[in-house]
Amino acid sequence: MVRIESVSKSYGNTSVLTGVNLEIAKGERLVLLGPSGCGKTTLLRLVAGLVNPDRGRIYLQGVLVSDGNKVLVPPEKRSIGFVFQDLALWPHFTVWGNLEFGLKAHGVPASERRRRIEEMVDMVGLKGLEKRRPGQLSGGQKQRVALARALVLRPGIVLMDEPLSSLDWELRARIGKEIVALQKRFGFTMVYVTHDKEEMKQMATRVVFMEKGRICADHQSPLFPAC
Amino acid sequence: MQQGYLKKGQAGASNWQSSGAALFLWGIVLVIAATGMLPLFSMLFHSVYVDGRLTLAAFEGLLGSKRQWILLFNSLGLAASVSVFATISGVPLGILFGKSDLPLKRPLALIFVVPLLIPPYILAVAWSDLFGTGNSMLNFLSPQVLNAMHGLLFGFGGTLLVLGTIHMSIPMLLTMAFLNTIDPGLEEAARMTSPWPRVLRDITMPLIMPGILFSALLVFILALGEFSVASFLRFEVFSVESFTRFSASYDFRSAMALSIPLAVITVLILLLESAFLHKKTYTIAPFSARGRGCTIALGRFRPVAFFLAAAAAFMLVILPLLGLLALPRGLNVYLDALLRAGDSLTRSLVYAFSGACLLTFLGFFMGYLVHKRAIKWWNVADKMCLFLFAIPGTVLGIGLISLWNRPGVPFIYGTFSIILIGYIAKYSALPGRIMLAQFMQIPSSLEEAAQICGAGWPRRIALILVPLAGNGLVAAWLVAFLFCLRDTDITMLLYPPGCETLPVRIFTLMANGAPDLIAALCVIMVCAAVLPASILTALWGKGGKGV
Amino acid sequence: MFAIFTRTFCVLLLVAAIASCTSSPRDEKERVVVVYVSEDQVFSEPVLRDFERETGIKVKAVYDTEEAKSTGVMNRLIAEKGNPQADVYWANEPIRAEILKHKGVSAPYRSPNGQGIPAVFKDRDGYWTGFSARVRVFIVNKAVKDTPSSIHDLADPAWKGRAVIANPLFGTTTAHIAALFTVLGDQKAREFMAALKRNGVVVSTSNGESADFVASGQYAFSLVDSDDAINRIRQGRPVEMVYPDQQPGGLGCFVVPNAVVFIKGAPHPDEAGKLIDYLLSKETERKLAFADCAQIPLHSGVEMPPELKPIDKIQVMAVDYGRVARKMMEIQPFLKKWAGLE
Repeated sequence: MVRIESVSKSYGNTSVLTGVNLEIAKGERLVLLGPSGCGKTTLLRLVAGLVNPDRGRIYLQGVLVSDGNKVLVPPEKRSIGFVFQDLALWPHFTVWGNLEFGLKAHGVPASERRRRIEEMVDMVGLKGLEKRRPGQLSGGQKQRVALARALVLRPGIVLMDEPLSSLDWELRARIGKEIVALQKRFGFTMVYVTHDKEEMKQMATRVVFMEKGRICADHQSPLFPAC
Repeated sequence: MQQGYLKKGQAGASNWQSSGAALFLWGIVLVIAATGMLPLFSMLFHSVYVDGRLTLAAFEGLLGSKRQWILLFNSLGLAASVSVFATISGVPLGILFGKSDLPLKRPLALIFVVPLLIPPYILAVAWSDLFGTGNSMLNFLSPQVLNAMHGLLFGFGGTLLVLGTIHMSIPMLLTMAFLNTIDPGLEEAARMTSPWPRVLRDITMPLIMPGILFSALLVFILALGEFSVASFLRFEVFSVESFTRFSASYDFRSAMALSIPLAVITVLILLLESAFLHKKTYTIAPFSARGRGCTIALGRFRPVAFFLAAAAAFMLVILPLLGLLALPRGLNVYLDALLRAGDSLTRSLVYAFSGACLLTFLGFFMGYLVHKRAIKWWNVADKMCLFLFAIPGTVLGIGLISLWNRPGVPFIYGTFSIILIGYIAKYSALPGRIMLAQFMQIPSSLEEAAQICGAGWPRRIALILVPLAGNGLVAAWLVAFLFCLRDTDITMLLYPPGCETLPVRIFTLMANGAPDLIAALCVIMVCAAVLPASILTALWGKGGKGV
Repeated sequence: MFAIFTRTFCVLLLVAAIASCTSSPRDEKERVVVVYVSEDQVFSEPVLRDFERETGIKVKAVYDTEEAKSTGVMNRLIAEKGNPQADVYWANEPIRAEILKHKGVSAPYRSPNGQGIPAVFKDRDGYWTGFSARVRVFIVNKAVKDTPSSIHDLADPAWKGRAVIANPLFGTTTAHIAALFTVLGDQKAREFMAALKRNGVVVSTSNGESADFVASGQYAFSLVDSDDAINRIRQGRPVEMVYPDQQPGGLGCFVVPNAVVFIKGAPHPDEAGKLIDYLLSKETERKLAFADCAQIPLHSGVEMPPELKPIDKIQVMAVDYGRVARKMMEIQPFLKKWAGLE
């Protein structure tokens, strides 16, 4: 599903990723675990196409999307869902508007948009909140909106960058379960970034440990890392 | 997925761009370059290429005399002093009016804006008239006292007072605008442990620092190029040199040469500012509902603060203008003024409105491309705008005439298009920098999220960035409108015959025009600027909730 | 709300764009004349309106400001030389007209209405014709016991620190000083200027300001234009007007006539001729004499208010305005040094 070949990325004199190789199979729930600054978020953003690698190649569903510093497929064409760390909910749109934006951009007809949004709202437990703006929602509700927005387009791959970091442990656990349930239901490939081992245990079918821009361990089951 | 070959993104920036977007942004830069730099190159070319050969005669003696260095030093000293004065007085006023529960904030803020709306020379004359022995307002003071005060007015002190008063509203307004963009959560978090003064110092001020620095820079540049007030109050500055080469000798070449030192100084200042500002990073909290910033409750200091603000408004603005405003006796004078100037008032508003719209449009994209570093020479484009702002309007105007006054383009020269071109050339830095400061407050993840959702660049701009940048757009438009409205240097040289604006008409009528007529025209001019601005801000304040 | 703003903005921008395209001075159906005017708008505008009303020719004017405040129409005329927009230039003194002749901006035109004007007030090649003049006079505060009678009184120690003149780099003061250079010779003129400095003569920004200083009693007298003096007299200020150097053999007063110029390559040459003829008419001179500008007609037999002296009753400084214009450009560096700008 996702293949990353010898990808390196630097910002100025700082090397953030060095020769990273990674393959992610369809339907996997891969957790990227590592300390702050190890390059997890950068790797996610490279896959999303929000930044370009300096070297290396990235394939999505067998299609070459980035080749060295050339972007062959822009982010808006990669059919990826992304849940940002700060959630990035548009404050001037309602919940409905936040979900509808991507559907409109893809030219989905109005009736289909309505059906999908209602289905998603129901699924993530936002019924009755459609007309509210993000400023009027609780932390957990905002989280659900971000998730719903990422999923409403039925992407093949969903990237999540520490989406639960601002929530309390109880909510984190609950929403974590919901994420896993949604992933199983829709079958998308999930790449989840965290530095929290409890989240790792909850989410992962596979764990990749990163440190100082490199992958130092790659486990198929959620065991604590040796390094 | 669709495939397509695209260009490399900038190092350090998100991969935001499509080739279409890059072309569009280059187009914006080229429009500004064409309007502003081409006339200057034309002037420069004609300064060095005379009668078919290259010559530097126009530059001979440039900064060659001690006198010129003294004048240059005076200009720098004055500009720096005015900038400091305006910032030190304007920023606290901006915080007071933008963030506290002071009563009558809006009327007080408007009072401080009034000097910015009228030609600077008029305020200098008003101060001089106030202390003139023939003036009836202060006749309770002895002639000796009046003479002494009159004497103090003429020179550095008076020039600083007048220019400082005129320009202090710039940092005030920009402070108020940028205070609105702060996420209140940041201040609320700090308030949990600290009193307001500390919160202001450590949280609020750093967040709005780009706006404050820009306003200080703006005031510096405006004061550096200022001529008429310094000349009237007899403080000798460098811009006298360039001006007299035009006015007394009609020597365009050496006038052009003489504007170069000021332009070079401006570029140096810009480079310093760029080095400082672009290293700043800010922690951006999730963007909350606009317009619901934290309000400082003044409590028992409220009456004192109100008294101080009102006293400053009275002493600095109302008092000198009272002589001017009190002159028109009776409605007849205003009616006569409207009859004489009604058409020029309409033109002023149309030109300023059109100019503001165009400038806001260009400024939005200039701010965007600088913030995103979206094209290769984004830094050069940014500096070019500020450089053009610093160039004396007269030099720019003459350059525009020499470039556009040709038989093949009658739809430009001789119509108000040439004035719009002049406005774009001169003022594009203003909305550009306001939008840059605004964009720095908008989390980049908001645009990235839209991109991930499949929105192309135009859709992201229209549906995400424009709404989020609403405050900045309003501020940019208002600032552009005010500067276009009060412009005289460029308009004076470029207006189509019979189509002068109100400030130009005030200037031309000042030569032997009846003082009460001039005063009435100034009052009309102030209303022409204040009313649309008040309506706009009132409407925006009401309708913008929740956006 | 934002949608409303956006739509309104777009509509208004469209309106502005259309307005821009349709505003052009070259309307083929309407007769138009474009005139650049250095004479004060308050005085010149009524004359131009009368012309418009009487002839049906639409006047599009560009007015000037006081020199100290702005660069003004001269620069515009010179900058537009390659593709003239103006048809006529109404100068408030002949030096500017001479400069335009020198720079190739003007063309000769001899109006039939110029025949009654003395030759000294016209360019011999027809590049400009003078009309309605100001005279350089003293404005004297009535509280002053003695009255200055000669330009040399500015250098007289008896008047030390009590006189003011306008900035010598601009306008009629520059022209007057240049005229003195042509009449007295370079050396004597330089000595005279040095004496002014030694005598503490103060420099103001304009003739108007000088007149106000004298009227308010800050200074005893000033060298100003006659309209500045008459204005203050009509305002009831405690001043009087003195024509200097009127004694037999005296230098005489420097006369500053308005000058009308035909612009080379004028877009509307026929209309330009008609406007020039109108400006040089006796009727125009009568109007300008009775207006607040109080300018002295150069045609004989023109009705004028009692406080004005007919031109043939004034001893006039004998100058060649062309020489004065050239001298003016020549003495610029000297004047800048004198004014402390070098």
